[in-house]
Amino acid sequence: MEPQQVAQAFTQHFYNIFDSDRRNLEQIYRPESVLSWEGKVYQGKDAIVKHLVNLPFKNIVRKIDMDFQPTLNGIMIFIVGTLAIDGEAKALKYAQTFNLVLHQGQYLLLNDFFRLALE
Amino acid sequence: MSGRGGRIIKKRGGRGGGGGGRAQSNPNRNRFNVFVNRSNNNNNHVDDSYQRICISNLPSTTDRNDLMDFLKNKAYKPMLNFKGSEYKNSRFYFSVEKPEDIPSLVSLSGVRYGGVKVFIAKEDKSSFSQNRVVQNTAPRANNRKIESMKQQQFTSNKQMKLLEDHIDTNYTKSTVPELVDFSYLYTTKEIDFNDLKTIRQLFRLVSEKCKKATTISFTHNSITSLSPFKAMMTHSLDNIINFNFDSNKIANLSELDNLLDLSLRELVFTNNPITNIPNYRMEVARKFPDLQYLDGKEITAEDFPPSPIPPLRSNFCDSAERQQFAYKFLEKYFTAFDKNRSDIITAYFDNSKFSITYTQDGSSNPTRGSTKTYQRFNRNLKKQADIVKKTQLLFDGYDQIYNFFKLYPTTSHYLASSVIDTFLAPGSQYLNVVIHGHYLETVFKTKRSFDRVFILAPAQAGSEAAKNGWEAVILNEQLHVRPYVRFPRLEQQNGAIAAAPAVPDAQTQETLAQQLSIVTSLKPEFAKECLANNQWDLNTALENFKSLKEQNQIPPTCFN
Repeated sequence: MEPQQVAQAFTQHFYNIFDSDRRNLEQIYRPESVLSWEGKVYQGKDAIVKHLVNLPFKNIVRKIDMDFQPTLNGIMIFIVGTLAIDGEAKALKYAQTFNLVLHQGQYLLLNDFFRLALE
Repeated sequence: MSGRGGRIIKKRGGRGGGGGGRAQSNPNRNRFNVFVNRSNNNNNHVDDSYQRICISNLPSTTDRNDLMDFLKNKAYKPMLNFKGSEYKNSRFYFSVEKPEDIPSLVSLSGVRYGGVKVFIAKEDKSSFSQNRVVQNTAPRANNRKIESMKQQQFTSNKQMKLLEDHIDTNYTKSTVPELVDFSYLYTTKEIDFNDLKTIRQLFRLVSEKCKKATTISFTHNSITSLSPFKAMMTHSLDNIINFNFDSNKIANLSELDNLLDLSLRELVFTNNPITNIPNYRMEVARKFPDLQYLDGKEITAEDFPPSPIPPLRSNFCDSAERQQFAYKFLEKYFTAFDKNRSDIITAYFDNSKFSITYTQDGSSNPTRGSTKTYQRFNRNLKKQADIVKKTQLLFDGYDQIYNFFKLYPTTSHYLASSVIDTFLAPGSQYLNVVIHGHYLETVFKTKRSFDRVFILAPAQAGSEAAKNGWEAVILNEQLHVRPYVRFPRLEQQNGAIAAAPAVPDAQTQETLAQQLSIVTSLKPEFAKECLANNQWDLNTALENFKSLKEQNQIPPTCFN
């Protein structure tokens, strides 16, 4: 697969899961994955998924723009967009970066950075 | 006051004619208080409900609509409305709907229209009425013109003198050199603080005479518009960081945009209509990222609306050493980027990748600044349909990357107020640095927010990067630019590892207990007890349960 297809497919897959049932994110994160969420760090699939599942909102309406770059050992995906939580009218701006690493023919999500840009 | 009024009446009365009658019905009118006494004006003449500008040096055949459009554009006032026009005595008179638009029109005086230099002034009502009497007598009209210009010059000199006297008598002798006080001068000295020329003179005087000043007070001056205050940018008055506009007539948040380019610490708008606007404090705080006090009250997180997501925390880094490494790199990089951009070229190598994305929101002004540069190179894969374009927009190698940055606007980054996340990707020696912040486009005076991601590798000894003092080389870089948004105040970083977890609500407690009960076969009430003893953390509860069970410490009655 072309890196671009990987980037687009991954992004779509990730957000489909995130926005429907976050518990299923355990399919995506790895034991060695690291999530930096608003400056807090969570290492390992269990810690990450637990944190994401416990976030205090259920429904998300998301709009994103994306870009990607091939890196030396994988793909870096850059997302900026807005998310509206639990029917709130005001959408929050955010930026997220995924670092995918190619390992034995598979792309693994190694790093996930998430930051809100609150107004 | 009464002397001035009387003189005008007498003069006009002597000339007779309709003009005299108009003037008598409004004896208190003079150029200094055109913004008040509106209600005293019981004249029925339709034009008189608007202030007018007078444009000279153009032939009567000039296309008025085109001229109006030209002026609107030149003054950057798309909302400006003209309410009628008249050509008299070799001059155009345009009625202006909103008096606050007049200063910016007058400031255009001397502009070239169709190759001809045109002069624009606020209409002087007294010369206007006289002109009606001496219609179409060209030589006399010319005299009038000169007289009117002299009159304006006189007024302007007089204001200047008043301001200068005021500074000399009050400021120079003051024991507080930090404060320049222009309060009440509208009432006591008839100085018009809505007039661009006045404010320009004022700032010039302040920059010459009040070198230690940090605060200017304009209270009780009937200020409706802040647009003249833009003039401050042209004087180097960076030391003025506090403005007091108490008891004026500022009503619109958009007026504050005229102060946006200033770095402000404190603003006061008490007793202005603007303070009644919903979310006033938040709106103001959003506009001025450096503002610390508004109306005498510190700006805090409470000024921002509650959000279901916790506020931003400060920078994260997995090790202090790496953090220092990253900061050192960023500092060098952004200093070069802002001041001597060609220096950044050596921080890239021939395989570095760079791309930029740009988003715009409805409220941002698309014509401002260098939006076009961002749009042209925007590599938004969600929107770009053209695959060829996409490939081209991924800049590859230091040559292409630097060529792009040559087109990038000159900037001034605020690194100190940025949020920076840094860490080493596990299993690699690459450092991921994510920086969120804002910069000022120095030429366009436009602020932009950005997210910028770097993947850094340590610079090899002897490499081009190392020779130029870079400790790291950029493998990948992605830059996202968007309209300026204010970051909320950062939470205080306290030494504690984690705050005490909050107790979840009853429904969540039930759900958790149910989950634990399913996994462990504990009766729900014991599952709940187990969770409560473990800060409602399911995993901890489960672990503790397992170890207790192994030690056979759980009585069988606890199970289903």
